[in-house]
Amino acid sequence: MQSCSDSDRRKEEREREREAMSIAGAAGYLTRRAAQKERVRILYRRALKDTLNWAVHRHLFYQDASELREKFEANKHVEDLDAIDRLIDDAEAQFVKFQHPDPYIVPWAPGGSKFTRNPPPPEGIEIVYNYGKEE
Amino acid sequence: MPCIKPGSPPSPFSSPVSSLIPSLTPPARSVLQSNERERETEPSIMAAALRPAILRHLRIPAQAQSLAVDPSAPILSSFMNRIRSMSSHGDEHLTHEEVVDRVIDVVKSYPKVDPSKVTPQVHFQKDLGLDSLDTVEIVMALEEEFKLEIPDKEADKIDSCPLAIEYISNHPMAA
Repeated sequence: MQSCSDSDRRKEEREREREAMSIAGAAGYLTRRAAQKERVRILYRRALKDTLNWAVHRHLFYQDASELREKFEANKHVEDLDAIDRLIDDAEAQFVKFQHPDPYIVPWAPGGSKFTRNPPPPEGIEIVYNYGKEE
Repeated sequence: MPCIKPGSPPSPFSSPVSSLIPSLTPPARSVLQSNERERETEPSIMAAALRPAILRHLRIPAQAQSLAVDPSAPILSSFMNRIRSMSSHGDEHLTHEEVVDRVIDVVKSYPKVDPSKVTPQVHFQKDLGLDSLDTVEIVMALEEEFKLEIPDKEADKIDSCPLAIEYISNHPMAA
């Protein structure tokens, strides 16, 4: 009798431990997955922009973009966290080699041609437009 | 990607008019100086006579309609409009309606989207059944439409139409 209740109690403890571990584990798992998903999204965005930099003509860009999309979709159903991490690292390494040397950046953005081209004059300075009226 | 060049100098205009415009605002001035030097020997007497009358009108910004008041210068007013039509200075900001219309057009023209379901309140993943990668593609299409450069972290958060509209409306450089 005693041994039965002991073993029951031990089983209950083990179950409770496993539950606690799984809740903490689930939360950790979800945060890891969320972080991975964000990395994937940002990687896809940068890869798509680079594809647009390389393939300027729109029909070529659409072909390359669908190939890129298929590469991402092929690994869509991987479940193992470490495998996913390894895939993301490999992809980022490939991406670094693939970057365009002269990417198109919107002119007013940092790195663009119009960035800080005409900074606003400092405070308190007023420009007097009196061309031709000085005399 | 096509880069947008600033407006090229306007075609040559009638000579007496050119020497009358020393008091234009600075962006147009450099364009004129090259033409002015060629036409220095043109009738400047007539120019000097008309100059005070015209200068009074030229102090007003070019879009003002009061230039039409001066009867002796129909050429002048069209010339003024032509000069300023190539300047991208002071572009009006987008109205909210225009932003909404353009965003909805972009979303509707995305091939995986059913156009009848698109409203200004739609969520890309929940309502339209799109993937997270599809959301990334839509955000890129919006960037191209409005000539914006959205930083990666911000672009990640744009998940639905109202968010996109709000972000674009509040962006100072949206075109």
